[in-house]
Amino acid sequence: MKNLLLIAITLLAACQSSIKDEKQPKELPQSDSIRAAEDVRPVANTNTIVNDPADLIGYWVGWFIADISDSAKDALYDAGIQYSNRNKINISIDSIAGTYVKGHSVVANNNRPFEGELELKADIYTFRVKEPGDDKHDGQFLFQIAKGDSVVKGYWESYRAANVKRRKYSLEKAFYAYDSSVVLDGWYMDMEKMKYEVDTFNLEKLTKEFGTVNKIIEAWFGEDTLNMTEEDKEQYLGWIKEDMEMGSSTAYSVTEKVFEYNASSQKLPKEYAENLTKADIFILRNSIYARHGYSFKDRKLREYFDWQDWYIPVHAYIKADITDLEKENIALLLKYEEHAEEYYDEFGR
Amino acid sequence: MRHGKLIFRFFLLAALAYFAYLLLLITLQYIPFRADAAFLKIKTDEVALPYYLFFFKLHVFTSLFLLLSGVTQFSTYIRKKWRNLHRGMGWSYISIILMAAAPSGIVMGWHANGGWTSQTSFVILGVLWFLFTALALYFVLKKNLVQHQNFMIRSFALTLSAVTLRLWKWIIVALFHPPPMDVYRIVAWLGWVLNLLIAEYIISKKKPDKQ
Repeated sequence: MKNLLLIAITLLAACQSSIKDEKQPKELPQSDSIRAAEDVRPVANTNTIVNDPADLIGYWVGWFIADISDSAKDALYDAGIQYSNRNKINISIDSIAGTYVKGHSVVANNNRPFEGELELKADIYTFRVKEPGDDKHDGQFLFQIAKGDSVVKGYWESYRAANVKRRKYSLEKAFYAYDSSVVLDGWYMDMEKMKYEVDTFNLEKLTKEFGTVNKIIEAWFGEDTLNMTEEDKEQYLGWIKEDMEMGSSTAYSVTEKVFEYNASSQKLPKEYAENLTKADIFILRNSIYARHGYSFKDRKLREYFDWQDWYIPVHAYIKADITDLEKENIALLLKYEEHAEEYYDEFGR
Repeated sequence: MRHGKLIFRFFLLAALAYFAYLLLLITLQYIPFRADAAFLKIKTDEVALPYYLFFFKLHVFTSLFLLLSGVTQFSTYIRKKWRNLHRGMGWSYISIILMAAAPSGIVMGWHANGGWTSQTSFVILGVLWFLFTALALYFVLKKNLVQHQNFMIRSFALTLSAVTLRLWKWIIVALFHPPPMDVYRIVAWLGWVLNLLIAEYIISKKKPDKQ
């Protein structure tokens, strides 16, 4: 009786946070056609190897990596400060007139112009360019490429004190064109939204459950215990203990369903959308923006889309070039995304 | 023993009051009425139909009273001492179901999310709800109190599916995290079939009422 009451009360308490107010509609990437910087598209030639200043014009894309000491990283971690260790950056060389260079960079939803000088010395092109300085994330770039090479290497340094004061990169020339057919690759998972459960390692209990120590090891690792020494087994049990104490988790991640449809080239059926998880919908919707070269503000989304081979950050504002089919799919997905967020694991509908 | 039974009853009532409160919160999402709130957000195709919103409103704004009026009917004390209250509550319970909640439930069930699996379930639920409630009325008019009680127990078991369906959903999601529409198809059935089985068990164990 008491147990029943206890269970029931826990249950009641758990659905306490049940019904929520309607959330405001999800913020979409802003559409802003006035932004002049967004309209700059360098006219690049197809040479990926640089022999001439004209070959430098275009998008240079690669990882923008935090270049700070391990102890500085540890300090950030200890202070609980979130920062991106690596982002995909697009450094666009827009025009070169003699030694005067103009361009812009797109990274982490930040599109910033820069200008400065280009120097050619001993067959090495050196760029020293500066961002305007009116944005708190502005800084200066220094990068180089040798004649006959295809990789630009360099540094960026923030003007102001910042968590990540300095970043390094090596970039290759890339060509962006909207392609509705590119597909997602890899699994999106948000570790911070995972729910953890930690087990305790109890050898007696496990032995009872599985029969013998050998069977525990076989069940856990799928390995034959015949040729194992006692020390080996001890080692294996140690790993099991580590495993269990590390805990198992329920991932906030996409399911295989996310790969079934391409939200840019296929009309998503209602029956498909209504059975997707929150993470599925989230990624499908954002895959549309990614195909249009949208540079994500959300760190988790960057971590996923930056790893797609085809993905190049081109705009910090989404251009009005989202197709009608995509608009329809976004509307459908948004409907179910908001619904899933508010009602999936709650009492009520 | 008797003490335990009292605590148990008190607990059931408290739980019911709590869930009635949660259902009230769900209902309040539609006040002032918005055709794109909560559940209706994913029903745009149905909302476009000329009759759907009428039945939807009929269903959500009447059903809540059924939990409250229904639960008073099971008190022996009220039945004996305050017979008029029992009759008044009974009439309102039965007429709300027969004229509003069950017919509108059937229409909504016909348009349920999740395809034929859940549609079949909700339509059967609505039809049985109507039928059991109508039979309870029929038997009380015929002064057959035993059958009246039995059908009221069945009817109320189905009324309670408003709570159990949502509770099952919550439990299943917490335990297994299946895709949302799969959950819905499962609870569409689980939500009322189990209630009905429990009702039949209660009826079979019931001592004949001394009246």
